[in-house]
Amino acid sequence: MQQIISFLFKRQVELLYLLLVIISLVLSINSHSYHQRQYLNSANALSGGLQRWSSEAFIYFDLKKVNSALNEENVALRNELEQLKSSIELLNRVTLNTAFGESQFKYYSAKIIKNSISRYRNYLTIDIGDDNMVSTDMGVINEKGIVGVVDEVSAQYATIASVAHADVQINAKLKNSDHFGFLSWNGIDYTLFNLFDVPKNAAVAIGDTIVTGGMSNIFPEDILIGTVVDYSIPNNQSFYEITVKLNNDLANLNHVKLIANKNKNEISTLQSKTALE
Amino acid sequence: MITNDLGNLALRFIGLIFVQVLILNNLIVFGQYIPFIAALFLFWFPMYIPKNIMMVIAFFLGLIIDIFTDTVAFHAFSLSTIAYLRPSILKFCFGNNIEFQSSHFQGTSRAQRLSFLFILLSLEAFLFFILEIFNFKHILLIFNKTVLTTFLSFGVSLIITSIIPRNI
Repeated sequence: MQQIISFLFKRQVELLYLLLVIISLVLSINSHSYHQRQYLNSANALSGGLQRWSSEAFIYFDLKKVNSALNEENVALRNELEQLKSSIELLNRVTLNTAFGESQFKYYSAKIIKNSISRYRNYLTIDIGDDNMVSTDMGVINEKGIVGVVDEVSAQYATIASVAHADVQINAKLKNSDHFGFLSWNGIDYTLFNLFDVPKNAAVAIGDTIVTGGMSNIFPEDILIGTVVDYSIPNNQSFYEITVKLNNDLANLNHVKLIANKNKNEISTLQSKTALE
Repeated sequence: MITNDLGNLALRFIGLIFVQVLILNNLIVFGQYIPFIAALFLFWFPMYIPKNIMMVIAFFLGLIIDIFTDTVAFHAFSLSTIAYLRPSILKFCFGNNIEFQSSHFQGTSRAQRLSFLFILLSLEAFLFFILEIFNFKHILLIFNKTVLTTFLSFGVSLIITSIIPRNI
């Protein structure tokens, strides 16, 4: 007994170091799994508050850019509105019997209070949370295309796993042929992404537009992702490896929109039932 | 003297957190490199404080920075490891007599102090990226990030140590 105590006493520094390493490894391994980071991230009140304060101090420098981005979006929306108006007129003339129901997707606006692009797994923090109906796995976009997927939610803040997050995969397709694959990030350059699993019979060309596919419950179909800058078919493979340049500038984000899919629960329950059978 | 030292230490603890979280985390060089300067704390740490207390303080310094940067426990891991290794690094840089000196860095050359600082910063970056990337397929990416981050951090640390007039 005495020997054990004297051993522990002699080795106290090593044992303490071991304890600290075990604590930090457990914390970081838990943080890699999806839903464990409840308290130790910037979605909590204290650090979220500080980040909000610091982002408010810096936000004035970007007002000019925000203004022009909003203008651009306004123009695009107006154009879309006009198109929709004309198609409604067309529909009225055809006298269809369909009543336009409530749409499947609902949008919420949010401000980014913290952004990162330099990590291997990048996260953003936004200023709305559970109180504003934000929930995990909502899609996040802005006027230039996709941004990421909501990861953790607290009462007033939420964190978003950026598209530039090594573990995030997004269903994507070629705009002009509807062949789909999944988009993931290689961890190096936040403007370049890889698109896998597009079958080799699809026609791909440099400059082709890549948009979200309708296969996930997270993003609606046809939201802009980027353009093809390079592609190849590896030996003996039946799928392309496509390099995509992201249209969005992840280093320069201010306001984003969150997308809630009303039918998400219904779809995922149905899918999990099917998978079980 | 000792209370003065402890006051300084507490100020530096808080100051480093603020500088790292509010300034350096927004200073992204070449689109992906952020300087890490928390190892400066272990550069300044007085030698008469026992090693186990130093490890615990370093761990919490790392953890607080982690909470603000969403890198949970990566900094905590690297800083507590550096704190554990610090006596060996001190001996490596300054020779065996360093532990017997009461006030630190007396009678040491600038080159010795700079190499000590450089080793601390490079270890911090290396351990951080090992844990962050956690995939030995990307060992080249780890080295690439470590080297560039270390040089950046070294530059920033030199500026900070020249602003705070002591030692270097």
